[in-house]
Amino acid sequence: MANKIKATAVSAMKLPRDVCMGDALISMEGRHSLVIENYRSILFYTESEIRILAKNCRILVRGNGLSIAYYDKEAMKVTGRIASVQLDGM
Amino acid sequence: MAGRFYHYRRGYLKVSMTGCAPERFFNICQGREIEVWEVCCKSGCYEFYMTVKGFKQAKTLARKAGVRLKILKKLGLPFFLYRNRKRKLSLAGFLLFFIFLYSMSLFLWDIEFEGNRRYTRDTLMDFLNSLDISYGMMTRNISCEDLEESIRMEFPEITWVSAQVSGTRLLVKIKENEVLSEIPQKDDSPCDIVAEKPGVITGMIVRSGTPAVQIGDQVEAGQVLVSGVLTITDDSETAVAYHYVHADAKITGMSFASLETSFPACRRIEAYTGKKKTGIVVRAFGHSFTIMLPFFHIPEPGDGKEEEPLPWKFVLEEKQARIFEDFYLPFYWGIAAGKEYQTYERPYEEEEKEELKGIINAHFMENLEEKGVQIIRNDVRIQEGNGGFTVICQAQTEESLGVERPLQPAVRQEEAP
Repeated sequence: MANKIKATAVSAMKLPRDVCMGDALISMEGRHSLVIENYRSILFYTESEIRILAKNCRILVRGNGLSIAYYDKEAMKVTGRIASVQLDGM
Repeated sequence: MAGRFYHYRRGYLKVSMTGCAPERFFNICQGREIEVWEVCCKSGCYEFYMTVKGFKQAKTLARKAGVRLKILKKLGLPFFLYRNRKRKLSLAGFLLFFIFLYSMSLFLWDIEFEGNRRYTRDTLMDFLNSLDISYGMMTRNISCEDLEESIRMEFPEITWVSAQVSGTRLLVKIKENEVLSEIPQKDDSPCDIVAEKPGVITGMIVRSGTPAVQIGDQVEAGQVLVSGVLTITDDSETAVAYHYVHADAKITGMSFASLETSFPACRRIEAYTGKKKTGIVVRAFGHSFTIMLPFFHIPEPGDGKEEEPLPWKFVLEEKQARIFEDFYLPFYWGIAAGKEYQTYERPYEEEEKEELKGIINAHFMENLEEKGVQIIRNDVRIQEGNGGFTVICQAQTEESLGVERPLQPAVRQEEAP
């Protein structure tokens, strides 16, 4: 309920959802690199699949030869041949 | 995430990891702010890079996550120095390189001028040499203020100079005066106007002096056209006094101009044989060294006799070595490209003669037009003879005929009352 009110307020005031609600920011450069901000942890990692936990969803990256160029508390960069990016609700 | 140079300076490790919960290890590293980068998964084994400090911290974390860490490579400057600690000569060479660079940076290896249009680079370089400023001198001995003052004093047309030593380079920026530096003095000395060349007078406007010829007169070179002597006569037209003036007039006349250019019957042709060779030329401290592959001649079967080697023409493109924009070094390198050629002589063909005729006549006409001469008629022909041929260009022109000539002292004495 509190979350719903917060979401309504953020929407009404046109505040950025990634700052206020902790939504993940995903930016892609072609199909070779992907930067995910506001993530929490790595759930699963193989060369064909990476599952990442964000505050409000799970992000599933599929592809070939996936590698993590860097990761820290703020952001993570995934490189390789990215086939799909899927978001699962929680 | 620190930069690549930071990692290289501090040293880093390439690590492989096996175990049942690699993700947990990564998440623990993230939580403890241990830098991990370039993570890749190769058939169940994970490889990544870590800092040395991070690896020491991660040892206990690996046990907690149930993974095993193995160092694959040690990279970076500390490990490089440790591996090469016994190579004393390499270290000495490395240090000598920097000492050499430092010592080279103390000298002047390039001089550049900017903004000079009237004074050529050679003129300015000669002047700098006269001030004992030349390549190879120590930059600390150059006084830019003195140099600027000397240039301004020596070249009055240069109104602004800025000299600065930057690295091993002396940059001299110049601004030249674009207007007349002084008003030309009017010449009032007594003089005649005489004919420069033979011709027929077609126009006369006399501003000062006594006209000696009329329109339509045929004049010879050196003949007085306007006299600088004004004769004062009395009522009986007897000369009572003479005034000597600076004769001034505009006198035009019809004249002829001609140009003869002779050529031998045969012309020398340089024909390239198609053989080429390229090499590298290195020059330093007055000595040059060339590395060039020889052109191997394969004699044809049954040839038997030795052929005389043909001459080569070389073109060299030379560049000065530099490390940064202003850090020039006394080393020059370039690529020399050579082409083999042979010379032979053959008679001029008719088309070539016609082409030469056209070129010489165009040059002749251009020269006349530059002098402000009006061309009435132009003829050009080729005259054969004397073992060759001559291109004769002739033009009938209308031009200014008069030139000033100072009054002769003898004339003055004769005409004095």
